[in-house]
Amino acid sequence: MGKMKVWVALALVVVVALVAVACGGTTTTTGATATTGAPTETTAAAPTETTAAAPAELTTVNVGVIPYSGMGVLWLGDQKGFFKDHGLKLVLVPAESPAAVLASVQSGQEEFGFSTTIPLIHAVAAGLDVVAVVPNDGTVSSTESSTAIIVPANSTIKSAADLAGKKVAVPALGSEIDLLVHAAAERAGVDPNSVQTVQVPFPTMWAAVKAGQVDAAGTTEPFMSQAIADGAKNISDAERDILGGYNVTAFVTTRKYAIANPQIVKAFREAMEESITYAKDHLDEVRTIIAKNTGLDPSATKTMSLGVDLNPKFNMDGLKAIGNFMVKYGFIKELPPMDQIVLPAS
Amino acid sequence: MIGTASVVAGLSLWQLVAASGRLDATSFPTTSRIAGAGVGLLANRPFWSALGHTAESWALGLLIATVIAIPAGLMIGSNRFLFASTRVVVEFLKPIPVVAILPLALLMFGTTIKMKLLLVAYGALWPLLIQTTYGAHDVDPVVADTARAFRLSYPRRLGFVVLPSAAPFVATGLRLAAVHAFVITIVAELVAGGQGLGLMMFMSDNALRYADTYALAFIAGLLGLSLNFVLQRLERLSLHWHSSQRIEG
Repeated sequence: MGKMKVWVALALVVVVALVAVACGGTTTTTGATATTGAPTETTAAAPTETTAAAPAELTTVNVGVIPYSGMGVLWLGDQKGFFKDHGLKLVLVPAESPAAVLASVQSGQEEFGFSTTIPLIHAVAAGLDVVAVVPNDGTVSSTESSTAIIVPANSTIKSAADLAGKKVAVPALGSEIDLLVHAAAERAGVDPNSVQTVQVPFPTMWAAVKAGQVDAAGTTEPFMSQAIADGAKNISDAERDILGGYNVTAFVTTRKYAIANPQIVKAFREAMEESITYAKDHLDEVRTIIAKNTGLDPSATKTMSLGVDLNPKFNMDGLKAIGNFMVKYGFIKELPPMDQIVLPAS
Repeated sequence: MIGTASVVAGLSLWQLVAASGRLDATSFPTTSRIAGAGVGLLANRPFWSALGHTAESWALGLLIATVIAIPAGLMIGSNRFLFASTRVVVEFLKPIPVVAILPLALLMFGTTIKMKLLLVAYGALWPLLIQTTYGAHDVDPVVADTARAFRLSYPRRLGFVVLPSAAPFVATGLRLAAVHAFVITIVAELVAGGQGLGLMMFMSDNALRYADTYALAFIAGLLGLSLNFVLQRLERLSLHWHSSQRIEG
């Protein structure tokens, strides 16, 4: 009889597993860490997205997003129903980096995804099928700065000209900020190859600077305001000065999907353009939804710079300029054709 | 008793050092602030929903690993040819850290639960497989011969002779695999994506709520600890008849 207990124990594991499957993944999240729409992915136990509440004509699309303050326009547009007006039901799938989103879109797990344009160009140059469809919010503001190179208050570095031979923290090698650090150094007359960039995640950058592990950091909102409030000095508004007027964020899909589903891609593009146009006149609503969905303190979101000029159209010359920067600093070997980077609007 | 006391001592030390101002206040919140953040998290729906997602991935991944590892381990352990021929492959694949195949899983499945399941199942498979194999290897030869004399069919032999004999090894393997699987689930969520506690940690980082991040890490640790404890008790209950338990007394 005792030997049966082994089987009982194993059966217990199976039962617990099945119970966990039934319980997990069916609740929708609310509050500070919410993503709008049903968060379930493809599991057998979870209910399908086309529930009785949604009208039958809505097409469900999975959209990869990074749940940070840059997603404000999409969140607001979704909340306002612009996507529903165009026949789309969005399922937002959270990821932690553009690389993860690009991988999901490429593998077909998601129909659309958010990406910064530098990783996108990397991906296209590497032969992935992803292509940009519509901007995320617009172009980098030429007046407000939301990305900067910071140093400690007592640093010997006073400007980008002092970056020669220094170690600068960037969120990922080959990223937009990595590019900005090199470009800022070059503009200030420093050999960009003498600047050493090191990968440090955004939340830990300022701590790394204070501890002396790096000499400077290329950081963005909300970490930038937080660091400056803690005594950091901004030595270069690199993004505004170098990429001002260019697109650094976009929504992508695969060319394969775009060829097979031109109406859905068109609907997504138009809904997003409508969201951007709306957001342009309702920035306070954008800030409110950012605070709600990220958990950031509303007082922080009221004052932090959004850093964008809201614009629903791509600046194609700007993208080409970014691509040329990437070739210049050795991020990619050669620039792919522009119609592989941005889907031509048909 | 001593264990609990040392934990309390550690927490008090943290509180003292953090409150003294010698460490950066935002990066090192005091224990009391972390506790407050923890209570705040536990009181709200998003935490439990995230926990559900983590538990789902953990349970399914562990189940997949178990369904593969236990039968495979029993077969490999009780058959000399299989044992010899698979040893090199297992020894080669075993030390590959799960995080190393994370980019592969991302490319195959994107930031979905399937990606997490691949990683969790892969990570939980090896300890369980190896433990089961060695347990099956050590069946009492008299019992094995008796089974053969009675002409028990191969599946019956595996299920009613080899498995019970290997049970303590399998139980240990399950315990190791379960805790390992939990760690991998959180790491996959934190680094790659997918709903769960790991994503909550990522988001609280991005929201500059570092006390929340610490609280979540602490809660995850507590969960792993209780998982280990529960499994140990289950092991004790279900294997009380085994000779190994008798020796422990």
